[in-house]
Amino acid sequence: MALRARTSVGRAMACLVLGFASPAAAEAPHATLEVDAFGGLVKRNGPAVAEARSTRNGGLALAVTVLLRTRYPFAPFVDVGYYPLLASDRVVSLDGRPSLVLDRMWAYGFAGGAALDLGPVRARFGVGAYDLWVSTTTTATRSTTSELDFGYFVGLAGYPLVRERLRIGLEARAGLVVEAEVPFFSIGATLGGDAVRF
Amino acid sequence: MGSDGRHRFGARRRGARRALAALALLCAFGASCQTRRGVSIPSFGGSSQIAGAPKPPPPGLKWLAGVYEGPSDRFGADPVVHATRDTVSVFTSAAVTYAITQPGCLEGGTRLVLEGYWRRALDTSTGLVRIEVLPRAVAEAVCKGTAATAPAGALPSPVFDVVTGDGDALPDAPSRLERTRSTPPVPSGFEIIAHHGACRTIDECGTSENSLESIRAVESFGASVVEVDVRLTRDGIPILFHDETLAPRLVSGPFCHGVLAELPLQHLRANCTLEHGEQIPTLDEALRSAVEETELRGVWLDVKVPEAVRPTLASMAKSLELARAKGRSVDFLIGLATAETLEAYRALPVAERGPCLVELEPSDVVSTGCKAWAPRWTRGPMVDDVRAMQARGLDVYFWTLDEIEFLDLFAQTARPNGILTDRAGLVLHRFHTIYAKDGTWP
Repeated sequence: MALRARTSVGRAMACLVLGFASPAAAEAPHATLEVDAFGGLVKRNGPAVAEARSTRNGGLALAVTVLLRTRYPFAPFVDVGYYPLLASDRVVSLDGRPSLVLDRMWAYGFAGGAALDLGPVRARFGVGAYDLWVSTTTTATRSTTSELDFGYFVGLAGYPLVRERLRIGLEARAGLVVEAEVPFFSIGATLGGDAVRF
Repeated sequence: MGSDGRHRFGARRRGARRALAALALLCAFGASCQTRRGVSIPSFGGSSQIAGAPKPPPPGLKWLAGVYEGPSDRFGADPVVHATRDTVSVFTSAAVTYAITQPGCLEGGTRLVLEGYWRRALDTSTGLVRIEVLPRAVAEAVCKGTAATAPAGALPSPVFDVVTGDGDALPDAPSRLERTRSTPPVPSGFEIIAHHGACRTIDECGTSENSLESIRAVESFGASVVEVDVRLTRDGIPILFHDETLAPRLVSGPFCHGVLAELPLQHLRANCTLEHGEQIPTLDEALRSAVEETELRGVWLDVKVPEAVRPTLASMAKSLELARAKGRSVDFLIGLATAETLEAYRALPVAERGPCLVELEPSDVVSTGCKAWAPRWTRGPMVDDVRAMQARGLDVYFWTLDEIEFLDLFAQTARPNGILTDRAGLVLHRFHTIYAKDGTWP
């Protein structure tokens, strides 16, 4: 009796956390741990680099997602990504002399949130942290600095190719490093698979 | 309703819930993308009447200082006019409005016109202001530099014919202000201390906090002392900056991110400018500017990290020599706000120390041999403690007071030796219209 009561409370709490579906109306428990890999082009949305001899906005972003699908509509996930955001070389006047300055900025993203499957489309929203790095090299010195900031993550994926345990699709991602005010967008391919079913 | 109908209804309801949930996610993300609202300080540009006009010789403008009388919708009933060597400002408590103007002498020095902008500090309102100083005898005396030496009563009271506008529009709303009494400079027993410079960057007065431009402008905002923040670059150079990280609220630049202490000065300057385009200044540059380009009576150096204590004291010593060489009397105080900075200061040989200010306990001030105590206003007026410190010959400055109610309470009950504020003009207005008038200060 006590065990059943605890189970009911646990289901109710899981319902609150994971979604709106009533446990009473649900099918038998079934969960899948899914692993997705993402690779695509990322672009930083921000001011242009003034006086740049060359600029590269973005690059190849890579990310891995681990997601837990259950009978509830929302699926919790964690996402880890690498986003090369901006690189440039400029000639800047430093101490009255023209100096070549090489800059590079990239971010590591760590997000957790909820995914929602609407047919073949998956929408994801997460919050987490972005470790934003900047490296600067001048003739005499190189410096690297980073700051860990709160951030948001949004993803929208479509899966035209679905096999029993495998899905291949396209995904658009957006991230916002809140404190540093760095938004970026990424589009690319995603490959997902059901790693564990239980 | 049969079971199929229930199923379809349930499916539709679940579909609607999912769509709503997806919409909520997008809205939550969108809400986080709001941009900051800036204020663009207007200028007359090509419509200026005083472009290229000669300016009055330095002491002349100060003769215009005083409490004026309206009516003026913009500047309230009793605005205070404050003048520096090369600016004339108008301050009022009404909606914390101020105007900062530059003078120009026209028609062979027989007309004095002031042009600049007005700004309401409580919101984003701003606009242009043009003032004609009347009567012409006053204008001529100010432009020729004879007003300050004229015998008492020889010149009529100045009258300001004021025209203001909104935004970038040329001014078209007239009003008239007449001086009811002149005001002497604020005595050295009551320092109006400007927080980070003329204003905080977020208060949008046209310069960035902790910049050279802000230090140069600080007197026109009504302050007699400036407080700036000191941090150390990776190569050990003390610079003016408030935050530990390069926050976009203070600096801009595509690569301007990260921890300030991890970057050498050269890289900071290559990648970052302050919000209004200024360079991040070194402490030496800032103190030189305060000595050579202002008449400020003091500089309070709020040292943010213990490693910056020794280099800050070295800069202070150099600047004191410079001030002496220029015949200027400037009090440089190193501000010790934390136990760590206090400890770093105490660890130095006495010969390396300099005048200091402590924000911790009164006993810390006394035991460290500092000149001033600067408690946070949230601790209350602490009248007995203030009196005890003053009885020892030590100064007391409260920080940071911006609201009229608290300014009045602290000034009139605690009677400190100074107030650190983001609204120096407001404090100046209260000083001349209330504090000095009610006998709180002579």
